[in-house]
Amino acid sequence: MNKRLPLKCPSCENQLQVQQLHCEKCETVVTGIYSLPVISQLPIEDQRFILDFVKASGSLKITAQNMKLSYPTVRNILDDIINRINLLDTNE
Amino acid sequence: MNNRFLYNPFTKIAGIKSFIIGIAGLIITTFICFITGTHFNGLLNIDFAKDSPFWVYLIENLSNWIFISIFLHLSGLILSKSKIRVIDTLGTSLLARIPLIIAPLTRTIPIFQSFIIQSWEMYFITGLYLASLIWTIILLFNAFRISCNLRYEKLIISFIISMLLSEVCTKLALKFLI
Repeated sequence: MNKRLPLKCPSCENQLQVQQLHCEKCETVVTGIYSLPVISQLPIEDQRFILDFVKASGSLKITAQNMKLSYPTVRNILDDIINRINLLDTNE
Repeated sequence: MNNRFLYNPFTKIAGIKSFIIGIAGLIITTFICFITGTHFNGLLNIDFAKDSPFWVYLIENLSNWIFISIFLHLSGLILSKSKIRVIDTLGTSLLARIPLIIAPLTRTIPIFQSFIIQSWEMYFITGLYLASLIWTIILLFNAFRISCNLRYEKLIISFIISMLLSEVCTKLALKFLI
């Protein structure tokens, strides 16, 4: 089962932060308050798109071919992600 | 092919591909208009008269496409924050016109080739034209939305203004050229 990383508090809808990191090998536990990286705060579909885009060497044309979508559709998806990232940056 | 593709093929087809398919559609439509005497003298008009040379039909179809493309692209350049491409606006708006082939194509059937005013044949052709026009406008709207990445009120208002301006310019151009 693929577990989704929860981003918002189920109780008050506030942005969640990382409190604990755990090493599976030696069972070391690091405790503290860490903010999630901006990319991790994006919806999973956006994260997948960013990965596909990077794998295509940042080429919208190749990304469009790989996703079987038109060039302007892929450009619009990218512009929407940029807007969401800018919004997250502003809120931080 | 799913229903979504019929009213919004532009998520899959745009740019040079839509331009090539659209040009082929425009040439075929113009040729059928010529042999059936169907005039598209304005984006929202249809007339029947078999007395014009081929170039008249070509000018009508070309100006219907070019003016709306120019106004939609200008709207995109002014209002969109995305880096829009002229080939997307030209290609997708050309592809959006393909349903307009339905009415002239129906007129190749012998009973629809010549008819009297207010006959059922005339109403049938007019009905087909209206249906294909609505389909074309929906396609044109989606073409504009995707090519220029506009949304909400910016999209709706600029689309309506572009349609009105292109209708006026097409009428004036056809009056001047033909």
